[in-house]
Parts: sequence; structure tokens; C-alpha cells
Amino acid sequence: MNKSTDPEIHIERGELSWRYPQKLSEVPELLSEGYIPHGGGTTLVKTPLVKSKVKRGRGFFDLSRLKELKAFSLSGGTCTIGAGLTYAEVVTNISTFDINHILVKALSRAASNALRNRITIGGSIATFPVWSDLAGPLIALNSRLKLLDSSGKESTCGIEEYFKDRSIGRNKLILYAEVPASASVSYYYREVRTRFDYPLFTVSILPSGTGGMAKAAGGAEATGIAKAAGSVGATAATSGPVGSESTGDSAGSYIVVVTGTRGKYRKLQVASSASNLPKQPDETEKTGLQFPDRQGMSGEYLEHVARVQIRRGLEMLEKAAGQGRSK
Amino acid sequence: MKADFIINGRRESLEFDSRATLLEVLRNSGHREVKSGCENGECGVCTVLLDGIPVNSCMVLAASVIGREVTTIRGLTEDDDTGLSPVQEAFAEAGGIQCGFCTPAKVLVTYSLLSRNPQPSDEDIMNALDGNICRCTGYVKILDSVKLAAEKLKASGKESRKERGK
Repeated sequence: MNKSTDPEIHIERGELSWRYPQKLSEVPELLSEGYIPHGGGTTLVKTPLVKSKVKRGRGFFDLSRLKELKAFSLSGGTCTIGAGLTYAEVVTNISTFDINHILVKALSRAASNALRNRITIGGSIATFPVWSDLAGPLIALNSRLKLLDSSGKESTCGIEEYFKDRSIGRNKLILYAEVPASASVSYYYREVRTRFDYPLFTVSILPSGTGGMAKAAGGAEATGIAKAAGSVGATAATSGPVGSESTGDSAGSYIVVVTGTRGKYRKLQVASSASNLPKQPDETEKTGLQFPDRQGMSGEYLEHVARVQIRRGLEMLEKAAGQGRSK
Repeated sequence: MKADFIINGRRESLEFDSRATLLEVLRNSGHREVKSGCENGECGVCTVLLDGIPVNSCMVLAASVIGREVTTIRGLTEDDDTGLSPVQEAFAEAGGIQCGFCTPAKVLVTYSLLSRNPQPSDEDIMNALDGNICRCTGYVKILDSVKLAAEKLKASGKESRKERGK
């Protein structure tokens, strides 16, 4: 029988091992032994480790008994979201103070009711599946992550940093994500054929200042926003795997994040007028807003729909800002 | 591996492969009332309540929920002399059933929804049932069934048990 912290659970030799830490202090040892964190498990359940009975690593350690990962707090304009919270729990928590927060808009529509009750924030960040409804808003919000490594040391990093350099998260456990508490002036769109589909792409738009919490902590500077030379529309852009540099000034502009593109995501800084967006397909190359072909939908078609949605979102936010100014 | 689960209020000690899903463990232990469909989290027919909350049992590794309370459709009626819960009666009366394959899952989701929200709006109902596909009824009758279930529960004062709903 394998070692287990729970005497009622019997695991036979040769089986995939499961460990059930009761305290966070037990986690570093499990990480160093090669155990894989298991939150909701909706991605892990489809991995070869489970489906093909392939023996890799030592097994899983279940996170459900770690209270620290289920914590949610609001302080100084920042939400701290425990990595073990499910999408449904995050929506419930944030809705208590901001029902229009971009995370409420995105996560309340993600997947299905039953899946929203299982998918965790930490698991979704760690795996960043192409259909993620979480990644776009977190990037737009310049979210910060707290990580715990196998030596017991804690560290922080920006969300883009984490997505770009996968070695940062290796052999580490995500403890929580920090996001600005105020993000109700926002636009979120998910491209789906039916309501419960995984999105082919998502569009998240926020006024540039919304991610101030992360910027102050070095998030925007650390991850950067590249200048698009001779840019026609978007004033600056950065994408998933490519490093970039900062433009600095972001006044009167919007952060647009599109996930599902080639390279997984594209982050654009767009000047406040929606007319600044590229209108012709050949102009799109300058913003890097390009999509792979999908079954029944070409990349070109998705690119067109994405541009329409970005324009629609910007117009909506501009209109709302105009109404706010006239009051 | 071997571990205990609380299934429909009864403690059951089950042996299962440590890679098995909750769906596999439930069906292999005689709970055939839990239906198997896409096994990919897309159709929703395998839905059970885990501590009162709907989950796709095909997307849950059983080893991750040991000791937790699992409710299947049988769990709604076992202590009821009439044999049907008000939610089930509502589905039958409003025509929310045709082939019936997806019905246990829909009834469980409805039960969970009404436990938290006794008077749901159409949008609340559609949100709750957004992962439960029906290929027969066209959903209008299902919407009617949930509303009728809410009325029945209100009239009878027999709201879904709070300890199972969340």
C-alpha cells in the first residue's frame, strides 16, 4: 500500500498514486517527489496519464483539502482569488461587489454549469487550454500570480510572464491570482456556435488604466507591449510566445486581448477611437491578429469576426464613456 | 484502490482503479441510473450532485471526491412514499420527457437550482441547464417543467433539502 495521509484510503501497488495533503506545508515535498497537483481535474482526466494508463510521474495530489487555495479576499482595490476556487465560486464571490466585473462576464458563460462547478482557477491557468475563458480577462487585467515551489519558497510573477515562459510554472503550485477589483467597464465576447461550446476565440477589452494594480507591481513593464512599426490601427501589440517592449503612455486607450489566435493570444493597445482598428485583411498582419483554420471555419473568417467584435466592443465602451462624461 | 463514498445518504465502501472516473465507479457499483453519454463533459447525461452541486461524473476522477456526498436520481426518491419527487412529477406532467435518457440529469440540476433559487427566471433556468443536452423535446417543455417544479415545491412547502443544495 502506498503512503497516504488518510487511513481510510487504500492504494494498491502499481496503481496511480494519490496523495491528500491537509496543509500547504505538505505540498513542497509532494512537488519534489514529482506528484502532479489535481484541482478540479477536468483537463487531467483527459491526459494520457489517466486515459492510456501511461505511468508518468508519481501520481496526483488532491488540492481540495487545502483551505488556503479556497480563500477569496478583497483589499485595497485588489481581489485575491485562491487557485482552488472554481469558476462558479469566483463568479459568486465577485458578484457580491461587482456584478459587471469582466471575470463575472467571462466565467459565468464558460463551459457549462456542471463544468463551472469543477474547473478551478489554478488548473485553468496552469494548463491554459485554447478554449480558456479565463486567460483573456486575466491578461487584460495584468493579473499577478503567487507560486509555491518544491523548496517551499514563494514567488510572484505576471500572468503574461507565466504564459510565455512555461518553465516558470514547472514543478510549482499556483496559490492565488490577484486582479483589480474594479473592472466593470469592460467588454467580453466568446465565439461559439452553441451556448455551451468551448470558444474558438475570446475578446476581452478594458480601459488601459484598469490593470493599474499589476502595473504598479511591475506587471505591464515586465511583460511589455510592443510598438507595431508604422501601425495602422492598434498602437501596440504583444502575443503569446514573443517577447516585446513597452510603449509607456497608455492614456485614453484600451487593452484588447484576443485568445485563440496563432500563438494562443494577442494583446493590443488600441487608441480610444474604434476607427483606428485595421479595416483591411492585409493591415491585420501588423497587429498579428491571425487565426489558425478550424473545422468548418477558416482563419480568415475568424479574423474577420474578431475584428468586428473588437470594433463593436470599443464602440460600446466609447459610448458608455461618452454617456458617463455627459452626466 | 478502496475508499468510502456517501451515495444517496448511505456510506458505501468501493474498490476502483485509481484512474477511474466517478461515472465508471458509480455504474460499476450498480448505480446504473447514472447514464453514460459522451464521456467528455459535453452532453451532461452523467450529471450527479456532488455535495449538492451538479458535476459531470465523467469529468471527475473518483479518487478526488472520496468521502464526499454523491446524489443520483435515486437519492431524490428513496425516502418518499409516492416514488416520485415533485421535480420528477413536474417533468412528467409538463412533457419535459420524451426518450428519458437525459431526464435524470435534468431533474438533478433542477433540484439543485430550486434548492438555491426557488423562483428562477428563464435565464436562471437556462444557465443552470446549459450543459444538459436534450435531443427530443426542444427545451421549451423542459423550461415549463422547471417552472412547474418550482410551483409544486412552493405549493407543497416541500422545498429541496437545503443540505443537498448549495
